Amino acid sequence: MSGEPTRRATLFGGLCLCCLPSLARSAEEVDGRFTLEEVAPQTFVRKGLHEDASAQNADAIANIGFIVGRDGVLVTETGGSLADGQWLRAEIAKRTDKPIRHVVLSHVHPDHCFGAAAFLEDKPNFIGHASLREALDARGAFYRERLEEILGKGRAGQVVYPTQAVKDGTEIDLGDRTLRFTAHGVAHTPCDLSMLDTASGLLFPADMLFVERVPSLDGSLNGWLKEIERLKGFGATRAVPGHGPVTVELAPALGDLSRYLTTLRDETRKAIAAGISIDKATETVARSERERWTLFDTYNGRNVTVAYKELEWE
Amino acid sequence: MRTIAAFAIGLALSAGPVLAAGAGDSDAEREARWGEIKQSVFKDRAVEKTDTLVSIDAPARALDAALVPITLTMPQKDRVKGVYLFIDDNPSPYAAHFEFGPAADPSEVKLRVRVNNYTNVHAVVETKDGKLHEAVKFVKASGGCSAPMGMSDEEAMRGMGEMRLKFGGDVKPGQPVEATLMVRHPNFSGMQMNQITRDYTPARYVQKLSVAYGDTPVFTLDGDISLATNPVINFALLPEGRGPIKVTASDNQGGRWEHSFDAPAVSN
Amino acid sequence: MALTRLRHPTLQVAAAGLAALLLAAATPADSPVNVPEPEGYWTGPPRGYTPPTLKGATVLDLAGLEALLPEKPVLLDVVLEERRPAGLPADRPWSPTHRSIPDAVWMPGAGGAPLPPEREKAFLSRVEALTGGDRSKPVVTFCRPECWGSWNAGKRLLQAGYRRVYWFPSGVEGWQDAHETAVAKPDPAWAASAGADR
Repeated sequence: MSGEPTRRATLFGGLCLCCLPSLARSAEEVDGRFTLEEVAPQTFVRKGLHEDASAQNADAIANIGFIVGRDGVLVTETGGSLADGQWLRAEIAKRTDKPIRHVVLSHVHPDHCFGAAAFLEDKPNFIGHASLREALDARGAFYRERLEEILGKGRAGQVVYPTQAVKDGTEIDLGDRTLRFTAHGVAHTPCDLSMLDTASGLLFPADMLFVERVPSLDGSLNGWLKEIERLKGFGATRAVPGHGPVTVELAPALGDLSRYLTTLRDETRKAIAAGISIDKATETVARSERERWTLFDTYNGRNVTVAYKELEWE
Repeated sequence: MRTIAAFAIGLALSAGPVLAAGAGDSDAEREARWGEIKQSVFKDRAVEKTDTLVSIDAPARALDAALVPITLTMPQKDRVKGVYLFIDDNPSPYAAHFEFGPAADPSEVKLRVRVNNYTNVHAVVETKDGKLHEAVKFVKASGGCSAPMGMSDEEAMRGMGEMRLKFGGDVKPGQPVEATLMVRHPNFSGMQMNQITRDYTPARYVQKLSVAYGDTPVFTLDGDISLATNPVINFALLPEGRGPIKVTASDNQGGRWEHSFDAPAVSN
Repeated sequence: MALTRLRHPTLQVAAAGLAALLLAAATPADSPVNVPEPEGYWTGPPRGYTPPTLKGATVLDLAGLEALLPEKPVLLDVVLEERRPAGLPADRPWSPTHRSIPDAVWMPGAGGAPLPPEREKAFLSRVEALTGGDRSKPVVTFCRPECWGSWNAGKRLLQAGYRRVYWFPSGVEGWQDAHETAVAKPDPAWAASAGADR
């Protein structure tokens, strides 16, 4: 077993394995286990399963959902697979006849944007960070080809690129509410897009906010800490995290996340200054956080490696 | 070059049955491979085993096979002319060669390498009398040479040639100064598959790294595809030199970069 | 009930319901669990998450392989050969070495798909020779973790009528964690069938 993780880590190199979807789904499970909660008027979120996940599998699923506005529906996250996306689309159809006008691709990780193909027939506006296309090119072809193999060339379609690329910020008006988007600097990934709903005041930071499940670093540690400060300034009190409960109090959640990332940064800096080698650092850095996050043992070491490689250039 | 061709041919024809008889032969196979590597690089020069002139520290089991930290310790530094590093089972086993100059303190060097499969790692130190001495360590890691970069080639080459030189600890006269040299370079092994084109990114790696303190050489490093991305070399130098510290790096595709750094300030 | 089912790492598809089958078929293979078996051979990139099963074959873990060894199964290693990198200067030596399970027969690329017909023929006739023409002799295919080659090779054997096909997905890495490996050279008969291919 020990040979496999090593191989897998090097096989996928920089590709983040943190956010791989659990796809154990039968009709029964989909209908029974996954329910949408209305977290704010006309705002629906399907909670991820990580609290039930075993330590063995990477069963972390993103919180996906949609907002029904006067002029149409906006999908906040599409899910981890075509099945996920299709399930979501069916749930939308159950609740409204309004057309799906916008689909948010919050960042490149498969569990968030991989359900997008389910919405192609709606011909919506796919909105994503300006760097998302490049990130999908670097990592997405893998997925595209495999999708084609499984579904057949006719059914797979393309990996879905954004039709609207956000460089700094933009707004989308659904008639009775406005969604404010921010393209962030390199944080969790190099292509993180957050969204603020002016009607409910809910912030959707996507994977820039992990709750309960250990955060995974696939972009820049310093950048992520910087973007957290920015998120604090948006004036939201509640948020829908990328992983975790469907809504959380924003301040304490960001506090916990900051604490982990700051510990990671400070202890990694210390290790670098003390001349501790990168592999030894993965064993010692951020141990104090171990009991506070699920899947810590699986992903903290990798976070340390990424942090080390970044911080040693300071 | 004749000798290098001989190396290649030698290995192709080497013994090693198609169907190995059993586990006990494995050590013999590893010895045979090491023998061939030595023969190709050192020809008929004798290489003695040592446990005093050089020792290798490496993780017994590496977390990231594409970034395995290796420490070479050479306690009898005044006798050391240079040191070679081999990763026996890598397809290109001759990973690095340091040659030290008068401004160096060769007590210890650290570098990061790629390890392609569970293998013996050998260090061979050359002493000033021209003799060779070897030490060995077994490292468990797999897939280091073919691990994809996880980003586009363009992204991987961004900032190529940028360097940092950091000094550790107090700098006292007469005491060696620990230094860390960092060079941004993808060091494409040529064995990494580009996920988009499904072709292999051609090898582009740092072939030579030279560090001089003023006009006095500190060390030169001959590199190979077995060096990890963004090489980080830890070494020590004697602070009595004069002038800036000059670093030159060149790669196999004509890239060449030069940087000059201020020498560390000596405290009293 | 649904909870415990979700914990199970293999795909549990409800027996009833077209929807369930549809969902299972639609599941893309970018998760370490629940990769569905493709209809035919896998023709995508050789590396990636593989299914937990090979229909018609027995999947072995290390203990399973160790238990099978006394029966002297044919061990087929289909790890790809390392190609000399472009850009490596001509005078730089290139000497890949491959280590495998002792007594294995190494047929690099035999897990590729599609295979040119003469290579497919060469593969099958080689296995026929190794099994003495006995389709009930146990054969184990393997390469590396998360690599489709050995899965394809196993499927190839199943199509050819072999009745005791074993697939060892942990491959060389799974073996060498507990046992010594042996240097392997490409099987000459298989290599000869490459011709202009290489």
